[in-house]
Amino acid sequence: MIIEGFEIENWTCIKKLAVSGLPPTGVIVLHGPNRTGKSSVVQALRACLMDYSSTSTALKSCYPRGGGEKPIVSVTFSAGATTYRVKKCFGSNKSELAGRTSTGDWKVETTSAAESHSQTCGYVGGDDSSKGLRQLLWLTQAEFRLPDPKKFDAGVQAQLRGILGVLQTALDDLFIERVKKRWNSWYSGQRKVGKQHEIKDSCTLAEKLKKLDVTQLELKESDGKFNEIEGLLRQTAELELRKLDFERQLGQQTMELRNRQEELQRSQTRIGARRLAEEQNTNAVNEQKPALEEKGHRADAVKRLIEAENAVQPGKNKVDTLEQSLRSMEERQTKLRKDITDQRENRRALEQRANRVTAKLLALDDTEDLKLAQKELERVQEIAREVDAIKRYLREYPAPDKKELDALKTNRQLALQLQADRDAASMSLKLMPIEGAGPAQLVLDGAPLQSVEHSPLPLTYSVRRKAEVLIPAWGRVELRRGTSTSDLDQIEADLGRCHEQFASGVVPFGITANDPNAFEQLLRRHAENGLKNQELKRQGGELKKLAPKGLEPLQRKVLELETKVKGVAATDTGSPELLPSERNELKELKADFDNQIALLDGQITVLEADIESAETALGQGRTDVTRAKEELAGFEATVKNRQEELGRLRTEEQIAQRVDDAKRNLEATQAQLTETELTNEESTIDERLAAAEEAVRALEKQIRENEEKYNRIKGRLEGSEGLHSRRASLAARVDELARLTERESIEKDAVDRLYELFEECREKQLGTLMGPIHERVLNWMRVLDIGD
Amino acid sequence: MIRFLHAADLHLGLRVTRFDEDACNRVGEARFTALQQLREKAAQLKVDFILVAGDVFDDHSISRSDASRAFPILESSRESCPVFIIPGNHDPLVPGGVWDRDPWTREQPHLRVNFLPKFEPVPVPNLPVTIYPCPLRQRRSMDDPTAWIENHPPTHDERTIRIGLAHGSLNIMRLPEDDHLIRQDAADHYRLDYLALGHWHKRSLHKSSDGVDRTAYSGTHEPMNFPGTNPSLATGWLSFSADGDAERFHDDGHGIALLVTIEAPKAPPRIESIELGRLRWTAEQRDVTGQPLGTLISDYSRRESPELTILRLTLAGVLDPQGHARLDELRQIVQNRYHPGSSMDADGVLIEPNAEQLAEVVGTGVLKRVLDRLKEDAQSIDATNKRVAEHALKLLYRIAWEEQPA
Repeated sequence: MIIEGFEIENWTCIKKLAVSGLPPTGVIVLHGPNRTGKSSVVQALRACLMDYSSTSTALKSCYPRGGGEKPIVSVTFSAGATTYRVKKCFGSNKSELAGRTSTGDWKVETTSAAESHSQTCGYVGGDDSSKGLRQLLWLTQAEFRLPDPKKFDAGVQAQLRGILGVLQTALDDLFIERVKKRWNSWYSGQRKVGKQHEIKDSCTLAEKLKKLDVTQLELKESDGKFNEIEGLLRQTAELELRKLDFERQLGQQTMELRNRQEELQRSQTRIGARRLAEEQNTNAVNEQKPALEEKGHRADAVKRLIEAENAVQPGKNKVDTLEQSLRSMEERQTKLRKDITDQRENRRALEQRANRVTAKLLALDDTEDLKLAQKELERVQEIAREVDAIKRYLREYPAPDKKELDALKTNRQLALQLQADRDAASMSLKLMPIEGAGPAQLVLDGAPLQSVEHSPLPLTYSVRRKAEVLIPAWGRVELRRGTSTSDLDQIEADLGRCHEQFASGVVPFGITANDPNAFEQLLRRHAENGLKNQELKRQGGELKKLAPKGLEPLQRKVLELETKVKGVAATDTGSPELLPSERNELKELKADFDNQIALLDGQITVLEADIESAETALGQGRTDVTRAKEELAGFEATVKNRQEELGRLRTEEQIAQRVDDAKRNLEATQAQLTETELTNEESTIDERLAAAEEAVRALEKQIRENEEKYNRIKGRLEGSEGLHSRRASLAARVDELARLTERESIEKDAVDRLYELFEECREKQLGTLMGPIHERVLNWMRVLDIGD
Repeated sequence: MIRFLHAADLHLGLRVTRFDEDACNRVGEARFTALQQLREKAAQLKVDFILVAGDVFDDHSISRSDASRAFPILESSRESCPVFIIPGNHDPLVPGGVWDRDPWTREQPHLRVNFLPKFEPVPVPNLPVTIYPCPLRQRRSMDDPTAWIENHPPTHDERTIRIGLAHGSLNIMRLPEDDHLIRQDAADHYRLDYLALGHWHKRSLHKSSDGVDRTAYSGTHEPMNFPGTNPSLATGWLSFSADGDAERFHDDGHGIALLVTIEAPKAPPRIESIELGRLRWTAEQRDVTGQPLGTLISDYSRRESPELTILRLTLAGVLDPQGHARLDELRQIVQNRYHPGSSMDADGVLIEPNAEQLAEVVGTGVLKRVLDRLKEDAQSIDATNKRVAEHALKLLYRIAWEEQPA
């Protein structure tokens, strides 16, 4: 199949595109910037020729955005010897497949969507543009890779290479796959240009490098130990040399020592004589020395005796003086003790007198207290009595409380009201006797007869039911109510109940209800009782204040004071001194006594201090006397000792003789020393011999120390056993690992370089190929007005 | 007439590091085997005694087992001849050193092993021979270890053969001053009939004023180096001398001892080399350019006793990818048939396909461009870039070759 031309309308971004007269041979390349519709063109051709019938709904994504237009694609192609044109209106059943006749006209073969599709697929050789070799017909961007060569017809492959081989061959594919695989054995992901890639921790190279580091470290440690051992070896060489040197020196010194010993032997006689002379001389010096010392001792002893004797008399004098002083102190002490006894006696007498005055003053105070207590008791008793009287009155004359009184008051007011009502309901009888008329008699409502005397003013009476007036000299006048009397009866009944209630209310208070002043009496009594209660409260409060615990404590206090006053009077009866009875006098007397006592106390304190200091002085005096006596005894003993000491020493003559003898002996030995004087060599032989011995000993010591160091190193060197092979083994491993890592590093770098170069070359290859094509395509695009 | 074997530098407990552990152990073990051979050779040749001129052990701090094993081998059987040993600079006589340890210090009838720790003449029992031992007590020293012999000149009627036994460098060239330098006329000066030396690892004879070889280094009894001083051949072993890896410490790749025969005092010694040693060490370099790799493979697979040969093969040159792919075959042969420690270094072999192969191998796509770029890199003056590029080229060829369709 060869495409000759096509028309595309409303396909994604393509509004309308018509291409015709495409060449029958060569390559058709759509080339242009991104998003200009290259892939859409190919997609439309694939859809129209192979992949979809016009009724397919799978192409909605290819419809243009907005608007309701549907894509229409028409492709003119040749297959075999015939040219066809298929037109599909997608999203509808409008399709048409036409063939070109030999005259160049189009002959419609079918307008059925299904038939158009199936016949077209038949002409172009497939109904899926993405399968098999057909994909090669539809190369879009990035789809330049060839299929697996083994599944590829060799002829086709060669033909394709002829066309596309300038891009990437199958070998290139295989090669770069191998390279990538190898590359990924060291690195992760994909190689990126310009990026420094780090090798993976898990790759063999990284592991080898780690092992190499560890082994190198171990080798370093091992080399360190080896160098330490080498250092010890050098030390042993030095020690060896030193040992030889010491041994040589020891030989020399031993020889020297032997020479000195021989020299000593040779000089033995002369040295012996010399040593004898020295010894004798030393003895003579030693003998002279004690003789001279004895002489000195004797002179010292005499001198010390005289000094001791001189000290005895002053000692005696001192003892006498001190004893005399002690006696006078004892006398003074006796006197002081007597004085203080007297003063204490005086003080005791004064104190007794003062005590009596004090007792008397206290008795006076008690008497006064007693009087006060008695008065207080009396007052309390009086209040108690008054309280009792009020209580008794209140019991005898009870009064209504406020509530009761109010009730009674209301009753009385009601009674008055009822009486008024009754009077109002009654008839009014007014009598106006004339001047000089005799008394008339009047009977009202069945009441007893009453006389009506003359009155300047008319007399008015209230008549409830019936009134009879007997008028002398005239006769009797009877007045009687003729109509119903029910209101009046009710009033009277109410009034009667009212009076009954009143009567029952006043009876408890001992008042007769008939008494017209009954209610006033009650009012009065209520007022009086109120006052009484107030008085009772006041008196009760005072009583509680004066005697909160009742009368008994007050009475007990009075009794106690009485007992006390009587007791004071009884104790003072035997005293010879008469005391004043007035308080002031007594106080003055007391003050006088107190002053005297204080004076005496002061004197006694002074005396006590004097006695104490006298006692101390007396003790000191006695000590001084004892010490002076001891001192004197010491002086006397010293004199005795010195005398005995002197007695033990040789006499002066004997000592002088001894000193002379020693002097002569010394002179004789000094003469001998002069005779036996040694040469310098003879005199230093001992020192030189000792020095030689010392040198030998020092060398022996150094040899021993050297030997010890030698032995210490020996121990450490022995401990290095096996180090050599360990070190060799480690070095071998380091060498091997270094070789392997170096080899693998080179391999890695080479693979990386291959990868890098491959990518680089491929890009360049594409550029070279696509450059001129790009130019042509741009021209087409300009002509076709596609893109910018 | 007396006959004796002169050996030196046994270096038992040898420290080599440039091999894997197994190879190191085997190399060490071979030295004991060679020592056994020395003893057997002595019995076979019926020599009167053996002299070991120092460095019996590689160091003081060798393992106890190594120190112990040497003794019974040297002591050997009752019929064996005596062995006279001095300490060298690797195992100097120091306190706590290997000579201070069991079994060397054990109280026992040392019938054959004679350790000579002192500077004093030692007469060989039943023979008219006096040995003048020069034991070393230090790793390095500016003293001539033979100087003490000065005090023991021959008497005018001396009838014994005077043999010096020392370890140090004969002062015949420019050497470090502390390498135990021995005066070059020592044999003349001390009037020795023979001066048996150790310290240098290859056989070396030196004439006295009478034109007779009286001073000799026996060389080591078992090789311990690849011949040559190229740093790439290093084994990790170093002497304690200031010039560490100097040529005189390199052996010839095989073990040796000297059989010395002296007819009488002042008579010229007859010195013969006795081949010893278990292993052979060889370092070879081959250029593979233009030669079929099959020939090379065939050559190395047909060598004699490869299992006793430590081979260090270095290849250089240019191969086409096909040939390069066969390098692994050769590597397998070296690693599997030769003694452990053998190796092949083909890093120096470059791959260069011919014009025909080139298109076939890398195609005409991206790889072709990559190849061109790598070739440019490989010409870089920066050593690292160059090395990476060369390796990358090899990788490119290898992968491309392996991915070719069957």
